[in-house]
Amino acid sequence: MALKRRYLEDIEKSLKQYSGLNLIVEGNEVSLKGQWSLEQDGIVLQTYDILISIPEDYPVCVPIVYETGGKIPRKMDRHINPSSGDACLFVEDERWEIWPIGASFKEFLDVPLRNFFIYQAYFEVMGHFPQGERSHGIIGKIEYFLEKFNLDSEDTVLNILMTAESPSTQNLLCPCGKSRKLKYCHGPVVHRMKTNINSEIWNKTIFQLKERRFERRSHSIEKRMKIQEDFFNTSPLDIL
Amino acid sequence: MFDPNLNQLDLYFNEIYKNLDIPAHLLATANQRYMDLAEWLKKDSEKRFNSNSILYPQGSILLGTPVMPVKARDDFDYDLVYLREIKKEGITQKELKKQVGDQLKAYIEYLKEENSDDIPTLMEGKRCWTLKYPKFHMDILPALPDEEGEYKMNAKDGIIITDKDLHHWQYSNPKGYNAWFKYQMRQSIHEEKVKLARASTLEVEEIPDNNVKTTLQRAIQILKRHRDSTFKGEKDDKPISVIINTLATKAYKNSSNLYQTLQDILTEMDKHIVEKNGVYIVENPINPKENFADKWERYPERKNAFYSWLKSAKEEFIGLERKGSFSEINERLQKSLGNDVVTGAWNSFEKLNAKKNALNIAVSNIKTPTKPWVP
Ligand SMILES: [Zn+2]
Ligand SMILES: [Zn+2]
Repeated sequence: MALKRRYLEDIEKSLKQYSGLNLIVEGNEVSLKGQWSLEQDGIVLQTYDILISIPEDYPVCVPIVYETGGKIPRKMDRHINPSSGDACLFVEDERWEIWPIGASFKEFLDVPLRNFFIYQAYFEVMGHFPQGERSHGIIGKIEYFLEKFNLDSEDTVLNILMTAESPSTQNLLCPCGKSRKLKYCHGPVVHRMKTNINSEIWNKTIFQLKERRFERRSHSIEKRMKIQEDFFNTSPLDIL
Repeated sequence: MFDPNLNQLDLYFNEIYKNLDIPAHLLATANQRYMDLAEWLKKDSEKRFNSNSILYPQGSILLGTPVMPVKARDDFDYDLVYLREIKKEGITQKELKKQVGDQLKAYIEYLKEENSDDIPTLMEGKRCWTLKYPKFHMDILPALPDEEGEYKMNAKDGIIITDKDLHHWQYSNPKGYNAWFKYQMRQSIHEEKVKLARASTLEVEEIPDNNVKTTLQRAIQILKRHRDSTFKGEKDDKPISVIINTLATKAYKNSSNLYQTLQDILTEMDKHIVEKNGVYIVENPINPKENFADKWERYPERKNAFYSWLKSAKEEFIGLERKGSFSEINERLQKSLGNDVVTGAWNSFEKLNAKKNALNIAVSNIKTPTKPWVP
């Protein structure tokens, strides 16, 4: 399945402002290659050699970005996937707010990609990232939901996601504990997320959260059993 | 524009240090020449004497504290120990010295036959042989293992070396001293490795000690340069590096701020000189019998030279936050560290500040911040 013509045109259009990038079309494979130069007030902050590969199911799938000049080490702490070498621009669940489906390719370059390289250039000089970065993996996702829901408990996040998912629950009390009906509380935001987040990613996140809850619970049961065991094993004779 | 506060002074002195350090490409060339020679000598010793030999760095190359000479056209030192693994009973000092010379002459012949493009010239010194390359020279010190164990710590690395009139064996232990030096600053070495690991794909455990440079090493380099420009003429009075190195290490407080480290060292270093019955002692930390300052008794002007050097270094380096603007600091340091070093450092310091400024503006101009992640 080749990339649709209108997407290709949209990508081509973005190159007017990003003249350092060249479009390469080889059969069904579409990519952009070139230099990304960051400047501020006439000072060159950094120049990165990059390769952007456009997936066949673009824009459902996000363009894959590689820094090919070796300036950013391939490690998690630098938000580069160590095995595949691609840049991790944002938490997948957060995508709809940063670069929703329907937004132009230029917006992809202007916002998440440009930010990413500014952060990297900043790191090179200062030794740390300028502002929030997400933790790796599921923890980073949880950080997003806690921020979005303005909560501090992972358990509550899962309760809200699970309850508010279906439209029939909107008159129930919101699990966040504010004693309001879902429709007047966290209901609408979950609804917006559910319609905007890719269903595969949505289901994966809920599955991961459930898994973590299960593990937490079995740990605490184990702990309780251990305490009981210790209690009964300490006979008065041992103390004497 | 920027005030000389502790952080700015840290950046500033880091640029100073970079400008008096041996440039990476020069050091890489010297390292390569060293490894070529070491390999050749090892093979040659097996053939010639049927015994083993090891060539290894000592002094500032081993400690990671070399400095470029004050005059840019002068050589920098690359000091080596040439250890023959034989017993001292089997050889006289004169024979040892001559045999090493013969080997080095043969090495040069070998290089000529190979049409090597970098052929050194050989010179004989009192204790060592010198191979002169463009930009640097190697002082090669013939040595044997010290089998009597003169040293309290790291005795297995002890060596005996020829004396000036080739008579009494002298003791030395550069590897043992280096081990002490690195151990004293192990905390900072670790911190530097963590920093380097963050900026590269290496893990902390993969980084050798010599790939990082602590604030102590950098501060010693700056102080040595200050000494070198203070004692341009009177070479004999110049405080020896091992004294500065030892006292600085004892005064080191593990600060990650280079400027603070300079202040810590200069404030405390002379407290580690012990005076016993009018004799000044800078003890070798791995051999209490050895006094690095033993010459001060016979040549009191050397002791005086040390203290007056320390006094001027204190005046120039301590309390700079309160001693005027950066341009005043530049002016003073140009005299004591050299024009090129300070001008070069100032240029890169200004560039770095401009870049940091621009980065902060670029970040604050971001309208829609995003947060990078890894699945
Ligand atoms: Zn709620
Ligand atoms: Zn020399």
